[in-house]
Amino acid sequence: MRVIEVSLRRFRGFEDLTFQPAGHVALLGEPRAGRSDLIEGLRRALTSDGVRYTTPSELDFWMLDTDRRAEVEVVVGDLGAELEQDFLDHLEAWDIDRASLAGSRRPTDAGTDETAWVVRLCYRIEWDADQEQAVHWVDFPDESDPASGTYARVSRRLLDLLPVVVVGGRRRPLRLGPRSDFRRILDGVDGGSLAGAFDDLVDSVAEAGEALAKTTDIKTSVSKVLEPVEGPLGIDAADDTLVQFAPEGGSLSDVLRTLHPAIDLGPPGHLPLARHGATASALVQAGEAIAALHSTGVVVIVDDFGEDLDSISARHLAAVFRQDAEQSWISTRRSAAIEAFSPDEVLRLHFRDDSRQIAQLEPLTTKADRVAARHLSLQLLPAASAAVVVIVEGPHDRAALDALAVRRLRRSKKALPAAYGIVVIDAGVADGSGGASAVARLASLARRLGFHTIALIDGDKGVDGKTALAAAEAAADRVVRLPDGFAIERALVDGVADDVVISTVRVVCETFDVAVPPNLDTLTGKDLLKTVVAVLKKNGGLHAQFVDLLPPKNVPPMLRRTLEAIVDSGANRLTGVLQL
Amino acid sequence: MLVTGGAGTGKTTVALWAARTELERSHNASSRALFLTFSRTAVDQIITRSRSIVAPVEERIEVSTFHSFAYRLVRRFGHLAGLTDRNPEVQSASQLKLLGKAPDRLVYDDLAPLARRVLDNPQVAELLEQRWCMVICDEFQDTGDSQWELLERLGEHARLLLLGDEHQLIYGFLAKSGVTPQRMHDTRAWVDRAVELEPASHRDPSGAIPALATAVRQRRFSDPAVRDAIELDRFFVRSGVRDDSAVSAIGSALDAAWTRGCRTFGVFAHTNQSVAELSSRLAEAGIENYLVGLPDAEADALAAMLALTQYAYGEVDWPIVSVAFGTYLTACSRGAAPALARSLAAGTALPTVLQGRVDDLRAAVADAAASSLSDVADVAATAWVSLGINDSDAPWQRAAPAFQSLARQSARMPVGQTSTLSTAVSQLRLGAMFESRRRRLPAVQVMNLHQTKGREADAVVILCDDDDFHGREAEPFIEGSRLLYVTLTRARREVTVILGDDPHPLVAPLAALG
Repeated sequence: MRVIEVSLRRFRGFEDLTFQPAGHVALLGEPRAGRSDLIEGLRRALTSDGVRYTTPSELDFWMLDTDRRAEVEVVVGDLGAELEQDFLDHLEAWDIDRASLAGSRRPTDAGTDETAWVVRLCYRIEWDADQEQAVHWVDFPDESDPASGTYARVSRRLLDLLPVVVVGGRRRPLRLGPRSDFRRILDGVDGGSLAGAFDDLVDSVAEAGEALAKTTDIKTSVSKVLEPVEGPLGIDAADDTLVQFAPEGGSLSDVLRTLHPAIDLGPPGHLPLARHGATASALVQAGEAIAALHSTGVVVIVDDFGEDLDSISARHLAAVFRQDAEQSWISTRRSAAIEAFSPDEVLRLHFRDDSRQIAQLEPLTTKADRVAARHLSLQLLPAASAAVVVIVEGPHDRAALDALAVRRLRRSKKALPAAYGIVVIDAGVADGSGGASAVARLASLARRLGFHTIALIDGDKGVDGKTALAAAEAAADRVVRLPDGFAIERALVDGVADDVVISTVRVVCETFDVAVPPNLDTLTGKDLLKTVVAVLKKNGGLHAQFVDLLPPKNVPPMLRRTLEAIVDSGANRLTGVLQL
Repeated sequence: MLVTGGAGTGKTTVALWAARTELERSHNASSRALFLTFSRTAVDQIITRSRSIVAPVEERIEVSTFHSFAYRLVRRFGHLAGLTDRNPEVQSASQLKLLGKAPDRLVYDDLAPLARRVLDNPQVAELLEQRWCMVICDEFQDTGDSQWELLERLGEHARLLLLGDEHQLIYGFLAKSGVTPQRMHDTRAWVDRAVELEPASHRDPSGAIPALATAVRQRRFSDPAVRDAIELDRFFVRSGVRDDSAVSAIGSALDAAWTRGCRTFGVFAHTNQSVAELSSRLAEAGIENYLVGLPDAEADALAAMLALTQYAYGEVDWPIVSVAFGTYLTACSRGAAPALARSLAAGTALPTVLQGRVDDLRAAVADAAASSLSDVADVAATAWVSLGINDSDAPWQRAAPAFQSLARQSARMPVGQTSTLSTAVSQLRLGAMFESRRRRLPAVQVMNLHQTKGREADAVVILCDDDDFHGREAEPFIEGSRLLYVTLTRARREVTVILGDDPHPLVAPLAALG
């Protein structure tokens, strides 16, 4: 089974949003842009627990507007023969080419192989003004009529047939209680030993309770308690069979619920799972979910994946989910987890004009496109939850800007760009070339993923410079261009007194084992700049070190202007070209 | 396979065993057995009693009437196959009878052929061909041509199990649609196997009632089997019962049966109109009962209440309401539309008293409309009684609470109250027409003779009215005698026939036995 379309209407922070995932889904996004709400919407629409064990409230309505229904509508396809038969009376035809419901077709169209059977489910919440509470349910929208308040509700039996595994939230692994994920795995194994073992368990607990009641000290104490009230109770306090000890509730499920897993992960031996720390618990939980994937066609839904995992485990487990589930929905802040997914599987939630949006890449069809997108998107991963990315030509640009930002934070308490949701990414890594064309490529991808994208380009002159500017302008929301003839190194020295530059370069050379250029003290103008460029590019780049070693009150003015322009463009979501 | 056998010889049980075997043998865990029948309630009862047989596969046995099965396919897939609109509307049988066919609506008879054509769509066919590994047709002797074509098509990918008894062919009036003895004859040659069940009855293991019924069918009223049944307290005849004492005669027959250990009861009368009246009169006499199989009348009652409501708000003119009343009256009558129904539909002059009541009703709904939709619904709920046309208000009363409840819900809508109500009513109507609601039934079920097929009860009471219409048949009453055979064999323990002063010749020879 696969979810092929999701519509969120007035559900929590979503006013009206429809999207169609391309296979698996890695769900990223800015904080508060709705990752958890989307996952919660899916959980409520696709599982019977979603309605049964959830209390809806005003907070589930968009803008707390309880006058209108909140809805999460989901189209599921690739049902497989069994589910198609189970949902026979609710199937609708999906036009594969148009990627929408087929609606009515003319007889001449019948029989062409362009439609697939799908089922549409709609989770709805309505405010009951009389009871002052929200009511919710899942129905088949095709057979329901909201205008007259008639809804064809989906029975719990049918919902439970959907192979959906939800991971996370308050779920705990290895629980024996009824309806737990572990019980589903147990039921799937069904080697025949379970029922007998459960019966034995209940019997032994009952026997142990009885034995306890028969010990002399207990008997004596019980009769002491009962003696004063034996008249009113109409009992004989000396009767030692009067009291027995049974577990609370006493039924099998009550007994099973009281049992918690204890696990031996080394000294001091068996401890309750929770006592081993969040990571161990999260790992076992993930293991349980993966075990549940062994039936075919499962949709796995994970919120906040990897919060409690180290990045290696997160990366591994995400890859397993993606491999074993027919469709995995993994919401995460961890870039390591996303590496398992192909770029067109990434859905990025973000804000545009204060409303929640979703961004996704169009399906990538050729291998070349996939490889290119993959390498480009790997660079964007660290920015997954940022709102703004600044794309610079190479590692030196980024190093210099970062160093200045940290220096300003330390010296004058100016907030880092990160405080505005701004992350600086270097385009050079993807193909090693860097340069303006790489900036445009990466900017274009970033923009398609819904980032507010700022391209920072050098002030190259001539035809190449013009071409680079045009490409950046086409790709990014905002272009910040250094003055004509400027690259980052010139921005580091421009406007700084020559003697300050010379003394700082000397310290850099001495500190990082670089030979001090001959005649350093005598250089000026272009010659000095040329020498500085040569030194800064040594040892894989000494730009940040140069910025750090500049004496107080000698911040390079062009570098500062550049940084301020970036922060201003990002924080205020400015567009167009800014020529410094 | 064709399985034949007399009433009570266990055809349904054989079919359930066959379905279970087939399902357990099937490698496809999602394949199902389809049980097509003329009365879903009847088969539901048998399944409930045969729980031990079907329990392991119960969820995979679908029981459906031909109509609702065909409608199910047409509604879900008709528009995809380009045959119908989305959610096509179905005209009730009485609308058809009274008004003729409306061009944009389906009638019952359209359904089976359309369902057959839905299966011409390759994608739908692929889906449906996997679904059933066995299709069982109950009362096969009564299938018409279009039903047979649908069965034959389903049989291309499923085993067909046909259950029939030529002695129970009682829908002879449908001969034009292909309901003839020829069906059984042709099929016997067509099937791979034909099995005749032993004549022993499982419904009445003593064999007294089957023997009685066979003798009556053959019109051998002096046969020892008839005398034996009377002597064994299996057969009772009360003759000379006047119309006004019929209810008390039924009551005492039921009481007596109760003291003899009977716990389920069937009360059969000849026409829809008479069973509807009978049902309300029994209820008045404190005998709680369930009126079987007037779903059309319920659906038409709903439509009439809706029309009256829309009239109250000026959305439709009175003639629409008048037609709706005529349709309801037709639904409660057997045979052609009654003259009064035709007058209502045509808007011609009504009897003075009735015209006065109609005027009062129009004034009453107009008044109610000034206050609220709920008030209008309350007037609509009692409208039929207030017209006093006849006593057949049972279906109307059964439909009224549902209508009132929908009206109260719609009244909460800030706008579009009547259109909201209209949509809700049309959905409810479909439910009524296709017998999709399940209810817990009282022990006493009241129905007309033609609806008794496939049903059974510990005790059966058959009320024969002097002016019952049994067609133009004369001795030896082939068709009528089959009908008697079917009704008599519904009883597991005993059967009572109640006759008037001057019984119809079909049943007159029974009077002498009383």
